[in-house]
Amino acid sequence: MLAITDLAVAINDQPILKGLTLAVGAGQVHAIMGPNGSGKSTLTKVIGGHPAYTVTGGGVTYQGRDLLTLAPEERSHAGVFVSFQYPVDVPGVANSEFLRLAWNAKAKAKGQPEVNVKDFAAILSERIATAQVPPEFADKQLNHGMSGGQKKRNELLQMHVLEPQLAILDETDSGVDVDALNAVGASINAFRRADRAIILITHYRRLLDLVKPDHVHVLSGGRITQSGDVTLAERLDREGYGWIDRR
Amino acid sequence: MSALATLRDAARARAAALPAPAAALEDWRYVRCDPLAAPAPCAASSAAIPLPAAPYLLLRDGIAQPGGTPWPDAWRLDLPTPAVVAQLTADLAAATDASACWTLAEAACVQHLRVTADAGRALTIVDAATGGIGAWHLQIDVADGAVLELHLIHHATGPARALPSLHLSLGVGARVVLHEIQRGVTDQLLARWSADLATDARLEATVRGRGGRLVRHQISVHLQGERAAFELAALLTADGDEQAHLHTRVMHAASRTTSNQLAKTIVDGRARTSFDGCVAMAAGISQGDAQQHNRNLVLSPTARADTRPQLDIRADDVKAAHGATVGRLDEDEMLYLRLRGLDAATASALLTTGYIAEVESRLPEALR
Repeated sequence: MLAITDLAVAINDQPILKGLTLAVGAGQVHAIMGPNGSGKSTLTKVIGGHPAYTVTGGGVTYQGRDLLTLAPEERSHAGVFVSFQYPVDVPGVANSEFLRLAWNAKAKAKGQPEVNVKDFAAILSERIATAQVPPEFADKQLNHGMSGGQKKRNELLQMHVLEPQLAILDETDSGVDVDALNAVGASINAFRRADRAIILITHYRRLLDLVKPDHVHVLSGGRITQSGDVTLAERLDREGYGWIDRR
Repeated sequence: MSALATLRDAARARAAALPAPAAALEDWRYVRCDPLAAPAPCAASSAAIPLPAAPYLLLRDGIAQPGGTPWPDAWRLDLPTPAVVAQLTADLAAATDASACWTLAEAACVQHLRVTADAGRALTIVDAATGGIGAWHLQIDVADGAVLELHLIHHATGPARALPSLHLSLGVGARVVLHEIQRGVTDQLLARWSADLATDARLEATVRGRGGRLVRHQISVHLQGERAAFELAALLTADGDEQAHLHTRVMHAASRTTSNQLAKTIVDGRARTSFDGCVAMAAGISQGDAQQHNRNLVLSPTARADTRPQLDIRADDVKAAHGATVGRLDEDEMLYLRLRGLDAATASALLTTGYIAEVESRLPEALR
C-alpha cells in the first residue's frame, strides 16, 4: 500500500531523513520508534505534504501513485490520514461542522452525494461510538479548549469519520492518561481492518501492548536501522536505544 | 447657566489648550488623523433607524429619545447628579489630548442612568449618526448586586462624526454584559467607554467594530475593588481605504483582580488597523491576573496592522501575559484542514469564519 524508498528530506537545508526505506502492506500495523530528533515527526510531515520540508531524494508511492506530487487534500481524498504530534487548535470552528465539511469533501471527490447537517449528526453519533470518544466532542470547537489528550482522541474521531486506507498516527499516546490510553488503544483496534494499514509512531511500549503491531522499526539518524516484531519494542523498553547505536 | 452648558464651555476651553490628535502623539501614532482636520460633514440624512421593540435609548446625532416597551422600574434615566458633573470636570482636567474633550464640548446631551436591580432584559442604546457631529455622554451607575445587559449599536446612515461616550460604574458584586457593534457605513466614529468596578464586580464586553474613514474605539477600565473582573473580546475589520483602531487601558488597582482581553483584527485592501493596549498593575496589589492577546489577520499585501501590547507591572505577586501576532492565515492550520480533505479555498474560508466566530459567537443572535 505504501512504499517509501530511500527517502531524503531536509528542512532549512538541514538533512533530517537520510535514506529511509519502508514498505507497509494492507492489513498491517507498523510501529516506528526512535530517539528524539531521529526524524519520526519529519516523516509524518512529509507524508502530510508540509511545505517547509524539502524532499531531496528518494520517493513515496501510495497505492502505486506518487504521493509526493499530490496536494494535501488529494492525499486525504486518496485515503491517507495523517495525525500530527501537536494537532492545531482552531478556535471558532465547530468540530461537528468541520467534520461534516471533511466528510463532504471526500464524498465530492468520490462523486458521492454530500450530506446535510441533520443526516451528518446521525453519522457523527455513530462514529463517536466507534472511535470511543466522549459524545461532547461533537459540540466542541476544533481542538480548542481541549487538553492535549483530548486533542489526540479528537484526531481518532476524525480518522473514524474519514475512514482512510492508511493512517499515520504520530505520538497519539502522548499526553493521554491511563484510562484514556485504553480508549485510544480500543479506538485504533476498532479501526483495524484487512484493507487498512496503520503506522504508529510512539516512544512507549504501553500503546503497543494495547495495539499489537505486526512490525516494529527503529528510526535513528534519519533511517530505519532495525526492524523486527513486537519483541523489539520490548527490548527497547528494557534497554533503550544505546545498544542499536553501538552496533 | 445650565450644568451642561458650563461643562460644554469648560470642555471647549480645555480642548483648545491641548494638542489635537496627530501621529506625533503616542496614543494616535497609528491613526491617519487627516479626516479629523476636514470640516465635519453636516448634511443630516432622514434615513430610518431600526429600533428594537425592547426598551431602548435612541441618541440621534446626540439627542436622547428613550422608547420601546415601558422601561422597567429598575432603570431610572435622569440628568446627571452634581457628583457626576464634578467627575466629568475632573476628567477634563486629566485629559491629555483634545479628542478627550470633544464629546463634552459638542454634547447634545449628558444623561445619567441608574440601574438598581436586574431587570431581566437588555437595554439597547442606539447611537445614530445621520449627519454633522453627534456627541453624547451617558453615565450608568449599576447598584451593588445589580445586573445589566447593554447593547450599544453605533448606526451610521450618512457622513457624520460620532462622538459617543459612556461611563459605567459597577457597585459591589454588580455585573454588566456589554455588546457593542457598528451598523451602516461609518464615516467617523470616535467611541469611548470607561468603567470602574468595585469589589466582586464583573464586566464582560464584546466589541464588533468595522472600519470607516476613521474609526477608533477607546476603552478604559479601572478594577478598583478586590476580585473585580474584566473580560473583553473585540474584533475590528477594515477593507478598502478604511481604518479601525482599538485603544485599551486596564488598571488593576486592587488585589485578586483579573482581566482577559482578546483583540482581533482583519485587514484587507489598503486598510489599516491598530491595537494599542496597556495593562497596568498598581504597586502593592497581589494575585492579580492579566491576559492580553492581540491577533491581526492581514489579507492583502497593501493592508497594514500595527500592534502595541504593553504591560506596566509595579507589583510582585501577580501574573500577566501578553502576546501579539500579525500575519496571513496560519500555514499549519491551512495544512491541517487540507489534510482532512478541504481544498485551499474552503480551508481559507473556514479559518476566516472561525477567526470571526471566536468573537462574534459571544454576541446575541440579533447583533451578529
